[in-house]
Amino acid sequence: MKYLDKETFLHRLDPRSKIVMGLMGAILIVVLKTPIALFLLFLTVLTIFALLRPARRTCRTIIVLMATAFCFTMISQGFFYALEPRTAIMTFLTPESGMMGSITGGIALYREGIIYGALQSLRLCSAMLLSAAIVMSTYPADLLLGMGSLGVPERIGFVVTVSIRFLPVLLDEAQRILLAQKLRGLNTKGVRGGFRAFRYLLPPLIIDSLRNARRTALAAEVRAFTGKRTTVRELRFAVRDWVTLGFSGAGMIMLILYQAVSP
Amino acid sequence: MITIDSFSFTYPGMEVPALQDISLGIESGEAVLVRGASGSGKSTFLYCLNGLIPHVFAGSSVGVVRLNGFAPSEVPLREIAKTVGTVFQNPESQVFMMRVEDDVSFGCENLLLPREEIIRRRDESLRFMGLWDLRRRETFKLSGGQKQRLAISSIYAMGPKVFMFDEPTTDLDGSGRQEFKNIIRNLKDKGKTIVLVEHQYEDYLPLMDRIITLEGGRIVNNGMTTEVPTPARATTAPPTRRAISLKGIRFDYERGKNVLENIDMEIQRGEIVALRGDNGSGKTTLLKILGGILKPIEGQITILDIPAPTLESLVGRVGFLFQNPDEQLFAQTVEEEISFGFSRLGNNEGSDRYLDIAGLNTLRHRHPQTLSRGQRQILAVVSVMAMEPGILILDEPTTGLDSGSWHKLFSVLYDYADQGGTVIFSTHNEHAAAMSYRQIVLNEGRIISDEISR
Amino acid sequence: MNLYIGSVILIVILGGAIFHLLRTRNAIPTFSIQDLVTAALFCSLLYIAILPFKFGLSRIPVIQAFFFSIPYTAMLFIGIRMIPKAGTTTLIICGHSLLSQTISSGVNPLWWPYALLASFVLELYFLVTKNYLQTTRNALCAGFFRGLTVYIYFYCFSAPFIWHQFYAPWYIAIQTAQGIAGSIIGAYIGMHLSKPIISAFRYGGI
Repeated sequence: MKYLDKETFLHRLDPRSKIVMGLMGAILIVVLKTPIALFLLFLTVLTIFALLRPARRTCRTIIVLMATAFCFTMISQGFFYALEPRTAIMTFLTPESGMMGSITGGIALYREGIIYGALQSLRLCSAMLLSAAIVMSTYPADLLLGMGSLGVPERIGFVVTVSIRFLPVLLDEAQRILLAQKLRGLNTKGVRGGFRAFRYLLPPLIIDSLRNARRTALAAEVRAFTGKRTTVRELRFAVRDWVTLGFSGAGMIMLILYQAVSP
Repeated sequence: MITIDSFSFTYPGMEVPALQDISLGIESGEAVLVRGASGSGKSTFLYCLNGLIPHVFAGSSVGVVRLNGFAPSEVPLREIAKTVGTVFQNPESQVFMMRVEDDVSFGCENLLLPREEIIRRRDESLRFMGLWDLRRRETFKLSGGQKQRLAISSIYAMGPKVFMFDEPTTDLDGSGRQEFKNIIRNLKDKGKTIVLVEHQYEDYLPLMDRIITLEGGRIVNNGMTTEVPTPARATTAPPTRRAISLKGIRFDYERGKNVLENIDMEIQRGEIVALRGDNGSGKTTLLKILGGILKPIEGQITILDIPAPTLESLVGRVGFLFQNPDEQLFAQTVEEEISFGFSRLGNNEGSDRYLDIAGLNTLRHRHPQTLSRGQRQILAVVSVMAMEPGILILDEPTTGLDSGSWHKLFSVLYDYADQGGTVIFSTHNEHAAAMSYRQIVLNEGRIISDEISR
Repeated sequence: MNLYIGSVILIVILGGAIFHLLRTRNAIPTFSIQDLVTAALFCSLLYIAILPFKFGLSRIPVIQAFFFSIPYTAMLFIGIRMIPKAGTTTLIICGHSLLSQTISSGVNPLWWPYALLASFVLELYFLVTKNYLQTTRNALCAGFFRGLTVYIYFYCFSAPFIWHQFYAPWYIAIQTAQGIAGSIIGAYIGMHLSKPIISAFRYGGI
């Protein structure tokens, strides 16, 4: 999910609020257990995501990702459900059938497991939506600044900034190198071809990057870089941040209480 | 502003000093051109003035360097950066941030200036460099010339009195060089001191107050005459068979914006053709079409008697060289690099012949990346030539090469053409274009001239 | 839930142990700007190296662990060999994780302990063996520990306690074995590919 250059409510929030909200969401994702609580969480996060008014293509991508998570979780938990009661709807291996059977304890698809998996996939989907919402509504430099003020060391911030800056450059270069290799007769078809491409792609890409690193470091030196710096970008907490955090905090507590109280 | 007195510098482990007994003074507001062959010590000279020696590069020095009253060796880089700004050759590696305005403020942020001051300087610098309208653009989307302007803008915002440039326009095209000329003019008007190191400096001569020539680390005051001993231009064999034919070619990357229009041309075997034009003229696109990498949207193309060829059908028949030789060197030894191509096509001739052509026989076991830039360029060219293609296409082959390597490169290409090979190269460099037999000039996607080189 | 918190505490303890070891040896590393920029480029390179494996073959969950680990470990180890110091591993692994989160998968604090653990285990291994991938044996062992840590942590800690997903012990064993195998192969490939690069680097061509 890439940054979306728009003006929405989410965009106007301080990145620190969004990171804190992400943390709150993370806590809820771990702590909540009942189906209704999980569903409420999912709906809330979906609403937050919808605030971004994302493009059709983005919605499609996220739906595909969620559907994939949904299916895989249902299947994996369908197989691995270990609590009783459980009803097998398809048995692939009985516990009695030889060595495989005794090691694995039998492989079967359980109805309760599928339902359980479907429910748990709500956690994955909520996490996906929330983290995407944060990334799509926050300019990377601001996000890094926010993380920096919340404790991430400056040097890591610089490293991530530079790596974001050079990623498209390196991607372009990787494509050019692969093309040049193809023109020199390298066969890159199939799995073996893929590994071959990887093997021949890396050295020139890495060496060029090392040369680039030396040049970029010199350019940083003459820009007086030492690790410490003041920043033009400012993070300012506004009333809406307090209100949003207030609501989120309250919502979080309510959901947890609801879960504690309900049977 | 700058005084140097009997200064010598030797890199660690080297026997010969990189700079020997340099003495000179540069006044405030002066514009000085520093020229010299590769290895003459030009970059080292700059590094001794901007503090990179000794703060980043170690070595032993003798003599005195004083910059605005202080010695660079005694003051931390952060302080020196307030007085001296340096702009290097490669625009890509001088941009740090994702957005133009953020990159311009980067230097000021490192100087720990207060926020309002940074904003003031940033905005002034953006306007001075003509980047105001681009201030919110993603740096990735800028052209080479714009990136270089951005680098200069970032340095300008730090407020130095002295600007040092280490071959800043070698990688730029004609319009980039024009832009740079204007920048130098504007900097001079602001009273800045300028030290410019450049290979192709003719465009900037009128703006320079003084020329310093370095040779073997020493200042040599006699002016250099011609820089490139031009090899005799090959007369091509009378054109007989067609190598490439294009009729009515049109190409666009997105609907409505034609990059190439109405292109008609024929190239005969054995010709050496230079494609000229600025960035945006469509010459790189045309080059890729000639190489079979891109397919035209409209029109007919025949390459080596194959109509509308696919890329696969051209492997081994057409050799394409991209601008950066380092992206095309994959093997672990020079020898392996040369045999990489043809051994995959099933030929098993030894690479000796091509090693000879490249003049790299004694270096055959070296790792390709340890050769000099000029040698790497020649190796890349010869490695593709070893596949014995009928056509050799090169994208800006002279970028970053010094005069000795030019000579070598064109000798190799002339020999190839003499044996019937066709050479097509794109360039924004007039001297390189003059080395061809025929020059085709593109402007805004159309051919505006197609003439024999005089 | 308690196990997860326990794992976070474990990570903090590991971090403390590393810091203590460095202090007693007087070996707290300094990173030059070139080191930082190189590490940054390796974060991007790591992102690129695993890009083709995010789709296609690796979508098949049963063999995903194997295919994913190879390019990741290979590129990571090449990066560590370029800057053989304490802290490089953490810079590259965490930097890549943040990069990935900031520009695509989304910022998710739940993944942060995972990246830190992977880093700290390797850092501790290098510190204890006093060897930053200088020998193939060291690399293969490092690959082993990386695979073991990462997959056991995922299946025994992250999955059950964050995502509430459970897997049978035999399945965990298979996935971990694959992860270890992939990491070891990746380590070998990384060593093999980095040798000519390092010798070219030392020779001064770069």
